[in-house]
Amino acid sequence: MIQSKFRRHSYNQSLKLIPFLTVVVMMFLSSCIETRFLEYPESHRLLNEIQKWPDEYYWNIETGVFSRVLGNSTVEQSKSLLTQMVQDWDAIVVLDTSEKLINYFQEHNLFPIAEAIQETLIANAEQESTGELNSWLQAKAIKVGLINAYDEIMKNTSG
Amino acid sequence: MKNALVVSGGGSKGAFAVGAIERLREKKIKFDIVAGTSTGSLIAPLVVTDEIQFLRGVYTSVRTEDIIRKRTVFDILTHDSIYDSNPLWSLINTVITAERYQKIINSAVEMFITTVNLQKGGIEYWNQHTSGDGGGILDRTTLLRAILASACQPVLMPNVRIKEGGNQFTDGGVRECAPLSIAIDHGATDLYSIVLSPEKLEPSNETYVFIVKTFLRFLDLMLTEVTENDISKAVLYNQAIVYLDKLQKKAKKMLTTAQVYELFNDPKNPNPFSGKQLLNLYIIRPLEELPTSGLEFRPFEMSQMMVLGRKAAEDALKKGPLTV
Repeated sequence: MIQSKFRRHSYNQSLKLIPFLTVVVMMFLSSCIETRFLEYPESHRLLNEIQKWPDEYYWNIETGVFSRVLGNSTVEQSKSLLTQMVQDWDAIVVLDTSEKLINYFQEHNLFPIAEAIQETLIANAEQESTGELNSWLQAKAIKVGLINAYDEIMKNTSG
Repeated sequence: MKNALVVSGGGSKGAFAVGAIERLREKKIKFDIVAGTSTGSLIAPLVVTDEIQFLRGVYTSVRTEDIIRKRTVFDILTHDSIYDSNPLWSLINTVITAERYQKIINSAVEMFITTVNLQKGGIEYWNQHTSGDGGGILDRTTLLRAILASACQPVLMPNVRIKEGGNQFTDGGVRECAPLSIAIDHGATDLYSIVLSPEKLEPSNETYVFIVKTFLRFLDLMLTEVTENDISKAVLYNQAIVYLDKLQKKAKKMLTTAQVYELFNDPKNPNPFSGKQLLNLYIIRPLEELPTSGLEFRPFEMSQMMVLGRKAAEDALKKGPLTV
């Protein structure tokens, strides 16, 4: 009997809270703050990515190889190709020109990777703003793109 | 001949458009007019500066957290949107540098960024060669804010004041997802329209419980409807020109030259199609729904969408313009 009275009492108390909660919610809703956009926003992650390279051209090579290796084949094909590439990485990492890299991938039956590199170089042929191509940096950008593609596919297919 | 590129809205699905544009440029197609809505307005400036490889880089490097930031429940209750788009604002500032802005201003290519004015309720296009307050990009900040406004989906992302203290703007896709009409009004003869949704929306088996998911489905349905209306307007435009041409030829057989002239040049009822040409309309779109909601930016999926875009552009060119 006492318990039941107590329950009814606390139920009634809860009911009394409803108008209070409604007022709180209404206060929240009516005090909407308009989003302000900073005049000088913080530096974006992408800017740091681009600035890793002395020229935007090399960033284009890195992202071009990355997206073509991932995009030109199916998920399973890309994973298989890139896994094989990582197994051979010690031999690949020392190759210091795009020609040597392309030859390596062709000789080791990794044709889609070789094609992705060739397509990227063709697509960027007219975009070397400095006019002085550094073939070592070009090869480095290709390797960064490839290893990023491997990381990305492992992240997307794991689990 | 005037080539126009029109890119519709669709968030991360914009990667499909980047692939398609890359293929069109490889085919040596240059654009005199570039119009974009939402993700299309992020793409448009880099098409104007012809930096397609940089565009590819941007669309395969950005992740969801580079575009939007989740708010806490408290923040949602006290703010004007579910997500914070300050990361996107920072991205736009990074991509559209002062140097790029100058290139855009100096370019002969007409660029149009589509937004909707929330107070007036109408569409407003932002163009770099328009002077004055109405849609004129007078400085870099105006361009950056116009792009941001065009890309901010209402409710999900905040509204934007393009001019300090002025009206608020939101995603142009609310009223015009594929801004074909502005390209037609500016004399486009060959129109390449990249649409980021298939012709028919696929049925969904999902039960919609969560507000954001329901809202995204609503957006999909609304954007598909708006896009189809935009395309059908362009098709209707072509049909009207063909019909009037046939009518004129028929009239010439039945009436004298003076009568025909009088009939088609009535000053009281001016012919809205006078001097207009038949459009070569290429619609480049995916065959099936693209594998993302548009709010999720994942480099792997975006790389795959680029390939689909390239293929769709190739197919559209092989097929030729839409016939009436």
